Amino acid sequence: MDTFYYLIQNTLPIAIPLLLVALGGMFSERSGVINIALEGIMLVGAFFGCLFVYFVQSTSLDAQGILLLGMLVAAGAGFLYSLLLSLAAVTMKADQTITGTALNMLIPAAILLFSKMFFNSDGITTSKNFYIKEVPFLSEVPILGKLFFQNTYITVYIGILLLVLSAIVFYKTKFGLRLRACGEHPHAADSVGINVYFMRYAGVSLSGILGGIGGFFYAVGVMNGNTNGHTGVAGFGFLALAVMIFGQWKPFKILLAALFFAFLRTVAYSIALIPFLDTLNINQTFYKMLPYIATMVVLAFTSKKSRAPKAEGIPYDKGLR
Amino acid sequence: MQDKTVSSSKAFDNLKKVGKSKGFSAFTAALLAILLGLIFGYLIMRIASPANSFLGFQMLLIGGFKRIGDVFYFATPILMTGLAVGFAFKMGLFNIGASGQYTMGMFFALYVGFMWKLPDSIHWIACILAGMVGGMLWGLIPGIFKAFLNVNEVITSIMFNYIGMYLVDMLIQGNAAMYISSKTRTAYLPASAQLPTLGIPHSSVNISIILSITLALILFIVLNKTTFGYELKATGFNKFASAYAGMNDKRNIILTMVIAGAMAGLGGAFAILAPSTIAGSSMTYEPVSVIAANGFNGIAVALLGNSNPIGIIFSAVFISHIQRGGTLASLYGYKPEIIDVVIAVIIYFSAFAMLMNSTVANLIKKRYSKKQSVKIPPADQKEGA
Repeated sequence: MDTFYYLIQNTLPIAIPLLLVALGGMFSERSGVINIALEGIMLVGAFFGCLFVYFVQSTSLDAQGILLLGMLVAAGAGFLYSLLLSLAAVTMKADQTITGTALNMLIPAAILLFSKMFFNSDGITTSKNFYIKEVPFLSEVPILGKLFFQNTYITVYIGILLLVLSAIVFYKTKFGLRLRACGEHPHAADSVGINVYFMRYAGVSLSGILGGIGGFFYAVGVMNGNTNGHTGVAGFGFLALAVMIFGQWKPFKILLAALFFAFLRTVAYSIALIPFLDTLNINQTFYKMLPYIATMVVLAFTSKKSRAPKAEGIPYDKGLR
Repeated sequence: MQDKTVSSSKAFDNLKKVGKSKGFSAFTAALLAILLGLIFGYLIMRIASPANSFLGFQMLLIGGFKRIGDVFYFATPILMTGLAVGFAFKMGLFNIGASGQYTMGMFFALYVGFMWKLPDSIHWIACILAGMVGGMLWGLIPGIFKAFLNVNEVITSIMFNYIGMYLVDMLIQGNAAMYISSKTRTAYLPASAQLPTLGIPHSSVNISIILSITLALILFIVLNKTTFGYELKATGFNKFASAYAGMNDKRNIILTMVIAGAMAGLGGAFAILAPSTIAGSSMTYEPVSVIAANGFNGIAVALLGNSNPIGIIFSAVFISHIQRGGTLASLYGYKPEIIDVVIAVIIYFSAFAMLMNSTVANLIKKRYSKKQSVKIPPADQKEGA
């Protein structure tokens, strides 16, 4: 049972970045813009969040307070970086995949350049500890306390909160409805007076904010508060895209997909602790491949029915009717 | 007077025709993007260390000429991955999986190089072909997923980048003949498996650059002179129309991905089979669980070359050239990563350079027509009346 608690406790901090970034991708794609730059946006968020932590870690601020402020910095950075995508993909009507790829390529190189120039290293290393041993009172609750309120990060609760907020914005507001309309049939949306360009900017910006936060949470929850230009976010931005497709562009399905993937990854990295798998004596690397193979299998079974937003990837041109 | 204007406008029309042709505007767009990227790179150098910025930038631009052999040596793999990405692009497929195909190709080539005992004269050829098969396999799977299961090829190929990377690392580390665990690298390849060198001193440039350029030319012919190439481009333009016209899109998707994979696999084989400049050694591979960068550089090469095989030859050489220049710029204290930034900026601008290009062209045209109307007012008035 302890192994199970351990796996869940470790799954959540990994699932949250995937969840947030996939939600960001959802906002962007449902507004009609393919956001392949999520990987880069995450790295921007992780980098600036960590940079902020680096500069304030010696002050007397409380660790959780620093994390919250760092989150805001990461969100802001992600937002600004995503503007580069919307500028090219919405205003300039450029190819969205190419622009996204360029943004993905730019940021690791820029981080390496910057870190080598100013820190003489490949990234930023911080020494603040954001880990929560146990949440007062709640950790005493039987089973649930052990699952969700021990050995965790505050990022888990923020992530769930952001999921609920996103779902409300997405389904229960005028804004959400209009956003979805722009991803399905932008010309119809335009004909009833919705500013398609604005809505697409909004969709991409939301993905920038969520992607930036997700990247910072990855740095906190998976990398112990460090960022590195070489490894970046280890393909989590791309995985988030797979999670989003697997989750059928819907918030709560995305949560399930993120949990599924994060659980497999946690298992892959803690084979030695699971007696049953340890005795099988299979090469560890095989387990590292497992999340990706599982994603492929799941996509193979779900994609036949999968329905991407109809207008995604097509720059909106008022003149084409 | 009237005649003169007619002839001059005819010349102008001809000029406009050249200017309007797609290839030409793609070319100028690429130049514009390169220019903007280089300006951006210069600005960064200027900020980083103003004193040396001019010398450093000069080195970045012309440094490659001092290492011409290396320029072609490093251009070979990215030329091949560039072809892998560009060829799939023509069909409207985004083959981001060139890295995985490249890694698989490299592994297959290594495997045949170490494990098969063949006569010297055909050993390296067998290695190259094995690399091609490895890449094909890793292109085939995303192709099947796309054609029959409707899974987006971007996701599949990203997943297969990771699967391929882990798989290759696992297989190499588990093979005592290939892997020297104390060095955490592969052993030196037997000389018979290495590619014939071109004999340029102090560089590893070899026959593979010639093979790569030949392959690019073949792909150019396939795209422009064969039914398959025509169908492929038609599907890229409008897949519904081409399906309606009776083209077998499923077969074409798979075939395209297999060919693209073959190109990237060959790139991997060319990179690892290259002879080393130090006698008795060879290129080695270190399994460190990092996705091959040459695959992603291939995307840059393909985009800059506008997915045209001929364009890709030039863009691969160009990117390799400034990469060498960037390495040499470190003599002046600049980090070579500056080149990666410059390349990314070039790609970013090249995404909408066509649009900027036409804006600039329109501006020039407006000025030109204004000047004309000032020069010959009577003709204009007549037309107006």
